[in-house]
Amino acid sequence: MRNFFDNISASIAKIPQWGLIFPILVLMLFHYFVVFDRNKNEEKYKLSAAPTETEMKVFQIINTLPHNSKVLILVNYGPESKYELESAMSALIGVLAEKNIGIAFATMIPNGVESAFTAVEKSIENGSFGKERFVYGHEYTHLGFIVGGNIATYLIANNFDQVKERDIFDSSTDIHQPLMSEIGTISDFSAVFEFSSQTFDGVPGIVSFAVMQKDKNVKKVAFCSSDMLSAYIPFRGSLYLDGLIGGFKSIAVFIHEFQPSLNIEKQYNIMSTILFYIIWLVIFSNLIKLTRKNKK
Amino acid sequence: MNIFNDIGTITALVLTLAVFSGFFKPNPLYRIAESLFIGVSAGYFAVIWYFSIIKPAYKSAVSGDLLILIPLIAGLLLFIPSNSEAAYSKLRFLPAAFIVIVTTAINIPVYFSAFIQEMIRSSIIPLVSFDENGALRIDMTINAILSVVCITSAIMFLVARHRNNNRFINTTGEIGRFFILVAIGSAFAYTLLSRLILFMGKIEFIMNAVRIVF
Repeated sequence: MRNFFDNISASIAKIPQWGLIFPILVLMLFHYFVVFDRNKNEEKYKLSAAPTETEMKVFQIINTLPHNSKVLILVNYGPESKYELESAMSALIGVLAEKNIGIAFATMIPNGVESAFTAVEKSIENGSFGKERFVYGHEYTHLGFIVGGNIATYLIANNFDQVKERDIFDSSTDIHQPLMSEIGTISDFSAVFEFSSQTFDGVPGIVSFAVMQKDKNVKKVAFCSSDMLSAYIPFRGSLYLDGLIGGFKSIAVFIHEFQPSLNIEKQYNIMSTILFYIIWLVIFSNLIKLTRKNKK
Repeated sequence: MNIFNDIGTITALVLTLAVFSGFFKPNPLYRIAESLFIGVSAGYFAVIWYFSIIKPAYKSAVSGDLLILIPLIAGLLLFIPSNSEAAYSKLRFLPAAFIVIVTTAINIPVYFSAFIQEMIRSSIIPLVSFDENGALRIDMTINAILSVVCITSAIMFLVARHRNNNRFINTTGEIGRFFILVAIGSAFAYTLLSRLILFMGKIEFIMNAVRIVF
């Protein structure tokens, strides 16, 4: 019996640790192309997560936004969180466009500049709001990269008239954009949404904005990536955050609610499966380490 | 069929596979992709900074707003070598001190409000929660009590590290240490999850690109 375990231990010790990634890849592809595609045809797989109270609050805020109002979207993520946050932003743009709500984008990190445009394009491609055109300057605008982290947040919260003077293409917003000519201060927006994959000096951008902003009537909603969740969760029930969609699970629930055509269930289910495999990967790699130590 | 889109897709596909080839071991293809990524990132950031800062500043200066020269000179002062013995070399401390003072002035109220005032408020109120019908909300109540226990014991841990003469403080501190480790572990797990999601997105891109190209 002891020999049997020794043999197993020796066999495990021979496996290179990096080699464990390949079974995961194979299993993932198998799930992607075989299991989930088969289930899709049979309409079997569904989102196995229900909206929580916090998520419901966000739904309520979005649903109660007045028609023809304006919102500000702070795009504080780059390619590193594109897969998580871009679909959510595209879904949000779709809902807002359906209600004829004007959108002003601004970004506080350099690599967030392109993300707003790609999300708009994605939203149009999906045909999510029944329009083939989404007119720049009339229905949405981009104020570009606002430099300075927390100082930029201060400017947005209190001196928005300075921030909105020129757009990303350096043209005057008051002259060329009917959308922005109706906006003077931040109070003219019904809500501020932040899509974030990083904090500024440790403080979430939307929290910093809420602290500095005097008008408390503007709703503040944050969408954050999974790795930012620990920075945003402490503010979930606070006065600084009216709603939070944080991490892939919440994003999946949000997209499922507002943009079912994006087919997020498949990605969510694969994600859960991969996580299950990862747990086994950690167990096995530790087992390999342990058996190698014992051999020495 | 859009030839430019296809070329873009093929390039992205090849580069993605080149980066993933680094999983196996570093190879020339991986190194080309790595260098290209660093070069393109540097170029992209240079362009963004130029159009966001330098160009508007130049335009302001040309249009007669000479105040813009002050930050320009302050920025240039930062380039004075630190090992210079010349009398004027001390001038480099001026812009550095200004940056520190302004950042601190902006951050202190934000930190105090967000991390001290609001954290204390949301940790304590309401300790016992009731729903609209007046029934006890067990989940929210447990959550609030657990928050208070976590915060108190974590503070105790920080105290116990220096003064370990009180058994109660030591025991509570040990509980606090456990909660701190759980918090760090959760943060790490979320980071891993985020990277996995990105990885999954790239796999999906590869599959779609292969379908488009072939």
